[in-house]
Amino acid sequence: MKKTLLLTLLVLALMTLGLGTIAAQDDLVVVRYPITSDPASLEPGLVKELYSAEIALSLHAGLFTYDADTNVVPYMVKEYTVSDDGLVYTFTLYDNILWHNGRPVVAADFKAGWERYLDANVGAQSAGVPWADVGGGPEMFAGEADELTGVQALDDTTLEVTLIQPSNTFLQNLAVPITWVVPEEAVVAGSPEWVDGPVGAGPFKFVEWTPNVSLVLEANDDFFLGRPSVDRIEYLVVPDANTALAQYEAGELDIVAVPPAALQRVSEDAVLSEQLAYFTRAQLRYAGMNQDMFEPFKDARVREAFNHAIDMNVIVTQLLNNAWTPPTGLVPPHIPQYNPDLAAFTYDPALAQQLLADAGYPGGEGFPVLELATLDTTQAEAVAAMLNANLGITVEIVQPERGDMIDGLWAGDRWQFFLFGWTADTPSASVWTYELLYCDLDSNFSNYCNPEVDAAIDQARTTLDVAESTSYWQQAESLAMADAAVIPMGYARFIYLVNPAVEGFVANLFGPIGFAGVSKSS
Amino acid sequence: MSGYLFRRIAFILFSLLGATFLAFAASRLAPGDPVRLMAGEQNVAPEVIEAWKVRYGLDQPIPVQYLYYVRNVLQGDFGTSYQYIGMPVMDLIGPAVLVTLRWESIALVGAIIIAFFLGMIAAVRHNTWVDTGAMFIALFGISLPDFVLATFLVLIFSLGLKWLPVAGYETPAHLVLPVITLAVHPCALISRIVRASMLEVINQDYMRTARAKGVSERVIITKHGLRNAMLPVLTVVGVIVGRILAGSFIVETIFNIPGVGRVGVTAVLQRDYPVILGATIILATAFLITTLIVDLLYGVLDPRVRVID
Repeated sequence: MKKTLLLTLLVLALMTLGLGTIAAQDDLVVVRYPITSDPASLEPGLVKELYSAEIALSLHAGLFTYDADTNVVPYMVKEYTVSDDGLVYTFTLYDNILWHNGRPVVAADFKAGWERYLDANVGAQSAGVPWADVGGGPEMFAGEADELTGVQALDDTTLEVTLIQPSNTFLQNLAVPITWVVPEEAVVAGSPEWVDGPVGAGPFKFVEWTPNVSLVLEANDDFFLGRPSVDRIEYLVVPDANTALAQYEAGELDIVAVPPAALQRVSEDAVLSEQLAYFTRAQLRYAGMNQDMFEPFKDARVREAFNHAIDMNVIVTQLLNNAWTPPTGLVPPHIPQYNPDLAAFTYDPALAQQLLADAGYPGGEGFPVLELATLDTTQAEAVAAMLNANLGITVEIVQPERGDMIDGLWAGDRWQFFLFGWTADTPSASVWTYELLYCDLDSNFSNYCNPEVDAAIDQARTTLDVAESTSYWQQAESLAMADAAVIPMGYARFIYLVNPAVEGFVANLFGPIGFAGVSKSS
Repeated sequence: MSGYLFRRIAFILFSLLGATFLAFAASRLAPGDPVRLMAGEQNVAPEVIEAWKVRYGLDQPIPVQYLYYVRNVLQGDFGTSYQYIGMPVMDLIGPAVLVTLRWESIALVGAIIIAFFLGMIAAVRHNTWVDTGAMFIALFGISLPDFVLATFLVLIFSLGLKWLPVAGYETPAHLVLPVITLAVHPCALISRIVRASMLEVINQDYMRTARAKGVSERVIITKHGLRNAMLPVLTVVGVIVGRILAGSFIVETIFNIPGVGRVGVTAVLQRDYPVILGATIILATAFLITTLIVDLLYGVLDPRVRVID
């Protein structure tokens, strides 16, 4: 029997052969960082999805970028001028920038790269939107022109862009990876980038990508702003957030996003709580009241009553352990149009009851049973309990699968009352005030419609003067809040655990800004 | 024999067609638009949504989509992933299948060997504390769900004792916990069956004859007893392969093993239809082929069930 067991062990051991052993890392400084799924592509312009954008910040570089405070700052651009009419931008690039394949970056690369993204066959997710104001952009995306005429490379380091109309958002568009380009010679038609190894100009170079397993980058010695301090980044694909957290605790990862359910345990742990890092995020969490699906929501008094009957502070501080910050309105702090003077609804059950009675439902009498759709029942239970206790109405919670939830929201005819979030892809009040509230817009899941709010939004969107436009945005937001358009629940935050040996890991409003400024002591 | 084999293979192909149809129907009927899911809690321009639908043929009626799909698969083209731009489905699933085959076969082989060991001891020492002890462990193993066991193992051996890594697929040490998690259940099941069928065999006349002839007890048990006790076990192994393939979804996700189960889960959550279908075909094929092998092995082990044309 002993022989059998020994034999068994031998057989089993043999079967593991060929599985690597962790290579001795010499003295390389390696940061191990989890991602929940593979990047959809390593070409920066093709996708907007979170991890592609995050990895693009390490692999690629563009004309502008967002710094740690989410300001648009020049990146490859040494200096630039804008004509008085706001139509002609002239960018001067640094002359020492090299692609990872060794060729110098020239102004013409941007014209060629953008024209590629405007080819509908390439399928860039941006669908021409960033070039909507650039001369020839709309025509090219529609397939009516072959050239982006508004963009000219005057010489190797000078790029001139002519707009059709002045735009407040043009430089912002240049600061996100969807407008960053790759060298023309590295793009093989019909061949996915990962087969041949992507070529960028960013602080890190591609080493290898094993789908489902990991993506490895190494420091770019020739990076035009100086070689990064970290030698190697290993992005490990870990779909399960709790697995990633356990791996961090066992020292297998250097940084991990804390799953909401684990936040309480982590913040009560003497060691782990010291390693917590919070960053503001441009994401509103809100409860939407779908007026097309639930008649009583058409009455502003009912919407106000709901707002006054839910205690956001209890939900944010006690239930969510401050994973969010309490809301003040729709637009999160640090967004340029944020209005510090706007106050959220106070928690006031008596006032809420009064408002509901005024609307014809004293003590909740006659109020139809309401269905609340949510992906996370924790907050939904609290919301339902508060509405029941304070207003005497019955809320039934449904928890659809994520795909079902999102489908139902866009269709607009499934959920009466829902908890959801809305995330910025650009730092503008437009993301919330326009996209969530403008009449008849698909993303206006509440089917809210107020001509006064729309009028202010129209003004804000068309006014070029930044200060004036901001005041219109704030006016629209105030009107919508006074009308209780939605129930703001809080502003989400990025919450990470960071290995104390790692320094300089920073997220701006959109997420971590990459590893160029990160260092790690041994 | 060849006629039998031919019929079986025809049956396998037919079953596969059925499996693709069910998987196709289920994935299309489930709500959730792959393009919207990619964007999540963000706005996507309507032009983008349209462009993507056309690109992946999602603008066609569902029956037409299915016919195109079957035609392409017959030509060996499983399509490209929606989630990973331009990635052929088989480039994604192929390596994952190898990973799953490797670590699950370790678990299966280990489970079978240990199960025979436990079952035989229990049978030979029938009604002693050895028997009771072994069967108690087996009952425990059958009753414990994979995810509970996995959590305890990680808590004790990775986070507590720090002997083994938490998750990943890098060194042999990474495989220890997932293999144990996956092996416990089949091991328990098989050991109980081995015990039962050994007990049945052990008092047969031919066993008594062998003993009377003075053959050593070890040879009697391993040569005469084991071979005859094998048939019911083989039946169960066929079923267990199916169960292990299904179990890989949970265990691979918990231990982050880049196998076909974890790839499948991600694909389902993202509504990555081509990958879901590819994974379904692969898993169904694996299961059907295992069943075929088991049926053929019956004949090898027991001449009485050999198929004669």
